[in-house]
Amino acid sequence: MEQKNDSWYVERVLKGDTQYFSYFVEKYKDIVFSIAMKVLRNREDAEEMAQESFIKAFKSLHTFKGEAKFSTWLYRITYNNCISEVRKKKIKFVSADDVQISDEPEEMNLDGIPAENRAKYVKAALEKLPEDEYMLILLYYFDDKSVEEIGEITKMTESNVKVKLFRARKKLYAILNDMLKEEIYTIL
Amino acid sequence: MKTQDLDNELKGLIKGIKLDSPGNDFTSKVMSRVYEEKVAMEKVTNEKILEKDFG
Repeated sequence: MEQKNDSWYVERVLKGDTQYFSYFVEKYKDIVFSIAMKVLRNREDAEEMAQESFIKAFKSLHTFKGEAKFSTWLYRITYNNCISEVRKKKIKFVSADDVQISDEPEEMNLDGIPAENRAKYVKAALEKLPEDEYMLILLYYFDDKSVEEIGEITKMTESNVKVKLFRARKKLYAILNDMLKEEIYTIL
Repeated sequence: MKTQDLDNELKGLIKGIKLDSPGNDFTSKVMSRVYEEKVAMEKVTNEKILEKDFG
């Protein structure tokens, strides 16, 4: 049986079978919405921005050359929309560069947290990260994007992505450790 | 713990996260807009400018 991947659906949509575009919406809506939600901090605005990202992708699908993955291209559109919205609404974009981190090595220590609660716990810690670090962690760990692909999405150099990922991961461990110390996990 | 093991553990945990979803009607809302855009795009493509067809 033929395996249908993103390229197959792109081709169908470009040939006029517009209904196939819903495949992309269903597949990527959660990650696009999560990025928008993190930046805009408001459900209604985030839904609107996520919707605009998909519409923009549909309108410019003919310019998609397939050199990058469809998801990389879509996240680039989402990222640009976020930046424009932040500028328009004058929202303070909390960048990783604004936050001090110690030089102490951090390690993740989830001992004592029941396995079934760990994902919830990590999600709570992830939400405490600044927007840019949240996005890097989400793209790298959740969506398996490579450093190169994250560079394409954010227009950062690969070495910059690596440095920011390192800092983001370190900060995530620090937040997790703080949460553990405060025993916040018990109320999750 | 070695960095690679720690990284794999983190990846496993993050992959287990349930991301926030938009509302239930999100896909149908997007698709309605998509169909509207398609009609608008076709209208522009089929429009004759100075009797020249750009289709």
